[in-house]
Amino acid sequence: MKTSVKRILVVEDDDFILRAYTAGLEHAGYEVMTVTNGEDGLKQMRAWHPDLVLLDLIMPIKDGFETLEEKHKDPALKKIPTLILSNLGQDDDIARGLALGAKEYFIKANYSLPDVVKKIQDTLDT
Amino acid sequence: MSSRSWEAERRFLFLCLFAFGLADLFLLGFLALGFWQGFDVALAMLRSLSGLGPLALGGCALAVTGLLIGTARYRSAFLQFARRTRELEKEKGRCQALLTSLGDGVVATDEKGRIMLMNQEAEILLGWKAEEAHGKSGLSVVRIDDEKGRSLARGRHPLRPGKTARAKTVFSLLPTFYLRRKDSTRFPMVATCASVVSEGQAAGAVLVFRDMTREKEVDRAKTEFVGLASHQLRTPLTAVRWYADMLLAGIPGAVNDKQREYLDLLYQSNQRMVELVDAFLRVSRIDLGTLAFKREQVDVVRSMRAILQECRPVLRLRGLHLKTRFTPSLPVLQTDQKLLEIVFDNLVSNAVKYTPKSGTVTVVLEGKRAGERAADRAVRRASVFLTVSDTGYGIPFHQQNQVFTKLFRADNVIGKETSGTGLGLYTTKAIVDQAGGEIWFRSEEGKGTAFYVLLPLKAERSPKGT
Repeated sequence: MKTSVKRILVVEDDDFILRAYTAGLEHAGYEVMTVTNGEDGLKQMRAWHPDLVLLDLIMPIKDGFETLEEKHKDPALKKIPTLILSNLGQDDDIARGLALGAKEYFIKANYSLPDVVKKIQDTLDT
Repeated sequence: MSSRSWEAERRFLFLCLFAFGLADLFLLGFLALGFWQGFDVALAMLRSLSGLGPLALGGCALAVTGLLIGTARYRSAFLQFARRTRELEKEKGRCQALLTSLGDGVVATDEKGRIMLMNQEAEILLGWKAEEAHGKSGLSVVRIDDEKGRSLARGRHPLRPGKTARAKTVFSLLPTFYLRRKDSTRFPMVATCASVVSEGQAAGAVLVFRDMTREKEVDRAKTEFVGLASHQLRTPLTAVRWYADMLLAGIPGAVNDKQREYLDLLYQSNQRMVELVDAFLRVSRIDLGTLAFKREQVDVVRSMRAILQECRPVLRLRGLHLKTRFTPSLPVLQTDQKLLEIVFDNLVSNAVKYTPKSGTVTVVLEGKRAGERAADRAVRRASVFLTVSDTGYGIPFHQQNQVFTKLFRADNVIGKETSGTGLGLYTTKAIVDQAGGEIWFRSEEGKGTAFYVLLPLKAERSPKGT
């Protein structure tokens, strides 16, 4: 099912951020799909089989934590690496995200887009 | 009525009574003689003493008059005394009513630390009845918790017996202290406890306190709002940053030099905003008590060098000299590296910001053992001692007590430097407190400022307050 072009699913409700992700990641050579809530995120994880998920935390319908929890319970989805990119920066949020199986946790405002792309590359390489 | 005039009245009355008594004796003698030998003999006797008779009668009359006057004067004095007593009673009643109906809780203890008085508000707030608390130890009735919920050590309790006559303890809202009710529930409070001084000696203490639940809630709501707002601001700032990133990376097409220059400025402004939002978030966490403090091995010299490296361009731009002196092989600190670097950054960038052209900023890091001196203070535990001094504008003397308060900016620099937020030193102090350290300064307007920070090798949370 794997294609040579890596697929990245972005789950993020802010349109400006979404468009920046799409432009930045497509430029870096990834195939990008965007959804704006956790419910659709889980749906696309099952249907589209992404290689990596970028997950925001505060979203309508189903937030990032709930999504992560559900994904973690599903053996088919569990192995898809997930990076949390949120602007929530409390230590307990970070701990909770990592405990639910996220690979890493980034505070968006503190990273440049090239940094984010680099992190995605590193994660896909491992 | 003064005791002296009382004394005079009494002496006068006694004199009269004595004279009256003498006259009585005389009369009794006459009557006894009359009954014993017959009144004709007694009369004859009286007549034979004719020379003394009128004298005796005169004396008698004088004594009676004296007694009458004395009694009258004594009576008026007594009435006056009774009136004053009534007035005093009334005054006492009024004082008591005042104390009882005072909107703040009042608890007073005697010199042995036992509860002597408790007003109505104190009864309501603490859940104790005054009569059941009376005579009990102040420490067992007025139970105080610190902001972490630990009960206050005996030695720090303001109602402990044996305090000096001038002792005064103030509990303000930050950090918050709590009072435990009889049923062990608790509420945030502010209080003042002062020694009761009688004839130059401490004769107990009086504690005045108030329930701050509502204020605390309002403060919390406000702080949470700041946190939430800062958090919301981060998302659009991220978007600005990322689009600038893409433009600078030439993703939509090449940019010319002028465009690049403007984009850089845009990017830097955005970064400043991100840092500002981070600073507000940090303050809101400090105020909510949710600032996480890690324990990790920190090489202070390395951290400081990194901070100074970042400052170099600004130093050059402003034509400032930097002097450093780092004691070789300083011990490693057990503290939170990121927060410690915020302390370093705030102190150094303040020195840089508030020193005019061709001034000097000096940064010194040295080790101190317990018992040594750090500037004008004694060192209690093995510590690293940081001094950041400058030849800058200085802090006006009349504002030096506000330096560590939130949003404070000194009068003499507001016009010169518009970029300060008034959050830096507030945050710095909170972090140093959290690390169990001390921070203080010396400053003279027009000459410069030196900030001193003592950081214990093992970060231990020091008890705050009082």
